[in-house]
Amino acid sequence: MNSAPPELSPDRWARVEQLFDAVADMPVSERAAYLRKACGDDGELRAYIEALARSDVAKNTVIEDAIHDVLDLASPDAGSLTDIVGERIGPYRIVSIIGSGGMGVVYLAERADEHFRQQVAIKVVRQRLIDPEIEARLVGERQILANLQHPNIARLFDGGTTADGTPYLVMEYIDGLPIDEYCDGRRLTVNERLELFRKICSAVHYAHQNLVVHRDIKPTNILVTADGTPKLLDFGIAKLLDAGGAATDGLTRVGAVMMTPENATPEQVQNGPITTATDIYALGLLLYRLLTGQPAYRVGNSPSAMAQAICEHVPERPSTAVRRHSVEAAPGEMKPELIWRYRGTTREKLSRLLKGDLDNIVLLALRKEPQRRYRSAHELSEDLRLHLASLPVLAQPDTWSYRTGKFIRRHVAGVAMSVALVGLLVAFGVAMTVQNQRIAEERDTARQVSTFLEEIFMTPDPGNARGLDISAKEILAKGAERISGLDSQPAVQATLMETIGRVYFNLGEYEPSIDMLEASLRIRSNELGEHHPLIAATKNQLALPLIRTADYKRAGILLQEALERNRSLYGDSSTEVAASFYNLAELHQATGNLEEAARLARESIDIYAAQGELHAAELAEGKSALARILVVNNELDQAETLYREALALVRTHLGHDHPLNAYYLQNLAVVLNSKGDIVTAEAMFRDAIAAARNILGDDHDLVGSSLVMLGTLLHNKGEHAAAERALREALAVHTNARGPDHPFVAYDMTSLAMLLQDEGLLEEAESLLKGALRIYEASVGPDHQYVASTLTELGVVLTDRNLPQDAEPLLLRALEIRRRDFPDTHPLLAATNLAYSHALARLGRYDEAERLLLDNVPTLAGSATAPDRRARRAMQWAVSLYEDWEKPEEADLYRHRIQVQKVEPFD
Amino acid sequence: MACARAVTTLLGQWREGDEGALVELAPLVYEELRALARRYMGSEGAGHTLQATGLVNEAFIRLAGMDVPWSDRAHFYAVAARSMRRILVDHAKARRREKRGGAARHASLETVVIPDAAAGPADLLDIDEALERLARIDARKGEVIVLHYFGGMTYDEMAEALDVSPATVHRDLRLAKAWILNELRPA
Repeated sequence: MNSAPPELSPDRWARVEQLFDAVADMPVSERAAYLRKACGDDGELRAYIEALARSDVAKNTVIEDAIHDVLDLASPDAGSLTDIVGERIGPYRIVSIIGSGGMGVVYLAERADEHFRQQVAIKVVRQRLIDPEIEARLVGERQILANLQHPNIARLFDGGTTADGTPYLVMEYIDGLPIDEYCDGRRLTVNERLELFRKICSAVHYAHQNLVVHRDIKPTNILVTADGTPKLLDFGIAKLLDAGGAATDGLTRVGAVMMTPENATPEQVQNGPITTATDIYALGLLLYRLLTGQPAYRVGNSPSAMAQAICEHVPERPSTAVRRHSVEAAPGEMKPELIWRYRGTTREKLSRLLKGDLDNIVLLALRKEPQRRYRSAHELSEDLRLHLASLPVLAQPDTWSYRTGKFIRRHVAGVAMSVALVGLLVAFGVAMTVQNQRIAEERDTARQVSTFLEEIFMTPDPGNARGLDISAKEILAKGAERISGLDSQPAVQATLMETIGRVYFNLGEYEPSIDMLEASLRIRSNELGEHHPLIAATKNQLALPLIRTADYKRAGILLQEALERNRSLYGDSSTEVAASFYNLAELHQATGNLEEAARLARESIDIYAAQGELHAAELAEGKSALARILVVNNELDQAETLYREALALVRTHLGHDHPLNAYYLQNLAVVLNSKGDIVTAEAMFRDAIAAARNILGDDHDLVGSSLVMLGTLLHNKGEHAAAERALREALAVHTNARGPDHPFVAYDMTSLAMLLQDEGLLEEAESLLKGALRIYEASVGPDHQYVASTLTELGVVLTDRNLPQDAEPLLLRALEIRRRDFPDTHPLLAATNLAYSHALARLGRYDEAERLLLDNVPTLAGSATAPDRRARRAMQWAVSLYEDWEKPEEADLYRHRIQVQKVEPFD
Repeated sequence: MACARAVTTLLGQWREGDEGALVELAPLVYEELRALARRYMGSEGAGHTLQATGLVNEAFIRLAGMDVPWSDRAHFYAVAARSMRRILVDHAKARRREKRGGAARHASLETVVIPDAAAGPADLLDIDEALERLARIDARKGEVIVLHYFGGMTYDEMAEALDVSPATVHRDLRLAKAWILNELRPA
């Protein structure tokens, strides 16, 4: 049979191996001479090695072909197929076989009746339905599909089961070619291909409006007839057939229908829900192929690489893909030169045609995260229309702010919005996507919710005289009011209540958030029963505002219940469980159990970390939460590392203009500041401010809070002019963002007043502090530590204005507040005591003043967190105390201490 | 999910040196692959070939999930590759039997009926027999063929599973492939 020697002893085999390795990469011309020399007179060995070397052909695919051969040709044997030609199924007579596949056989059939003849395609499903319940559900689904009537969708006419229980579907018969073959065969140009593709989009969009997802869009499912009409086949069939399968627990099965590398979507690979966004992705893959003649992913043969490529790699830009010189042609793939010839152009021209808009459009459809793709097939189609008309398109390189901007342009055109409303809309956008994902199980709910939300946004209240600056809260209040009218549709009502409750929470309006979420939970418990997955999700959500309003006990109960439910529903390492851990960590942090909080945060981080890119945001948030906890515990190095990791995650996976960038930069700056790394902290604050301005807008809270912290840092450094600028800006930003009565504003006023006091601008300082005091008393309450801080500073200012008698009652009040919360050694209590000492000195009560001074300077000077500035100020007060007291030696002592800038505790 | 945990645990135990874990693991993998193969075979249209490696990968995701250490993943694929070989060879044998003994009439959910293959250049059963002979001469080279072609494993993955260097895997595969092609060539 071949030239193998009869006996291959281990020794001989080792020799074979050695010689083969030696000659494998040798030019053929040298091979013979080498072997002659190496084998000597063993002609048999030489011939054998020569034979092996001839067989060493990299491109030979005999083994692959044999495997594919077995896998591919698994259609039923011809005998059983032809048997039923001529027979009848229902009113149809079978004419011939069109094709077959794993799910069944497709026949051409005729409806023969006296009046007309109609050709149809009948798909006989190769499985039996046993469960009558499933069958009944299929009939319902089938009816929905049968109602789809669109010129580019092959109709589903009918269906049923044969006498032996085999299900079948009767469909419009399409005589045409798969779309990719059609395009290449007709040499369609890029623009012609786009026009054709837009028709597919319109069919898909129509189906989505009817809440049907195709689930299996690919070239072979789109036939183009001789007159150029594309027809989409098998709409929703994948699910219909799958629903009868044993592996299915219902109509909303998640996961993969097919795992052929070419057509898999990230959510299929990861067993996520199949939604309209899955079809958008499949359209993206199709467009990629039609434009470039290549698959979007070259996943090769390695299965582990496949999942990774689909979930993590961004496909090559179409314009780049067609330009590459050597396309490593996979089996069955097109030769590169044919690609441009089939499109009636040259390689460079094709690449230029695709560059820019079309690259962006395709890649937008192919985003990993379903919610970040085009929101509808119509939107995709519209973008192509704009491109064809040489108008600017929506698709841009992947950036976050761009998408936000786009969402707003589309949903509230003409309404000028406050910054808060922007956040609100983004939150609603997410909520709408969530709705979208439950499309199959909550058809009506999804539709009504989105209509409802659109109505709220699209029509500013005509009764509102300020029509143009309608606030987020007004919109919400209006929405909440309208929800109460939806009693007859509890599912819609509950979903809306949850959404609005969540938005209230994001706006910091905890009480109405709790009201909404409680109502939603109540309705859902009644409607769905205690064990429905939505109950756990709602409980998790409700716990958050409860934590913020210090109702820890209830929050704890809800979170535990949700955690247990999620564990049994989704398993210990599910993201649902991770979300519960995350919230529990917040709860424990709030109640001061930092160790447990850190443990839970770490658990949630571990789970999200194992989930890959899709949960990068949650992973970053988990790290940030853990960092927050560690900061409280003063573990600043670890916190810094975590923030840096979180920041890197956001930048890599969500983009440089994602809002979390701004938050993490600020938090990182705060940690660095606490660590005493003032130089880096200052730079980081400036970065945070720039990022927040870019991403969130000039008037966002975050801009203000970074500014005020930067201002204070500069103040501590002694750069008063720059500090004053930052602090005044902070004040302006917070006033714009929150209105003049918000505690943030009071905080800025106090910080600015402290600077002005240092500068000797006492009058303005006094009026700022009095304003801050009023705001605090009305907002955070008269006993808050913020009030004590402001009272302390006001006491200092009044003392310096020679009104120590006015200062004393304020400082006594401040001390009362401080003592209630702080031990004697707390630096803030010490600071207030020293301010009081200063006032007492001015009142001439030197003994009392000295005692307070001696008691408290060591505390302040020994504190790592109090700025040197405070200690220095206390030294100056000491100097003036002893001068007034006429004790120049002591005064000199403190003068000296100030000069050497070193504050030693008293012995 | 319970299943995923079992598989990840078994993989871990196997890695720790518990050969019994492999005994438990192999049938799980085999059954999952067989079920998948039954469901998918031939369901793709022309030009979009179903790949053995796609099946192996899906079996992996279904059984083990994504959060499995890389080295365990390589070992899983090795088990799956061997199962895949068995499944495909069984199918090919069934096909040969039908060719001789007349076709089974009805395709049901339980049996996948393999039709006559278009006469290809090589038969999987011939390859399988050659592979058997190779394994007798050099077990590791036979293994490399199975892992690569039936499991779609990369050099790095095979190196991990076989505990040799990727360069060795490369040389093994090259010779093993040439050897098999040489065996298949008519005298």
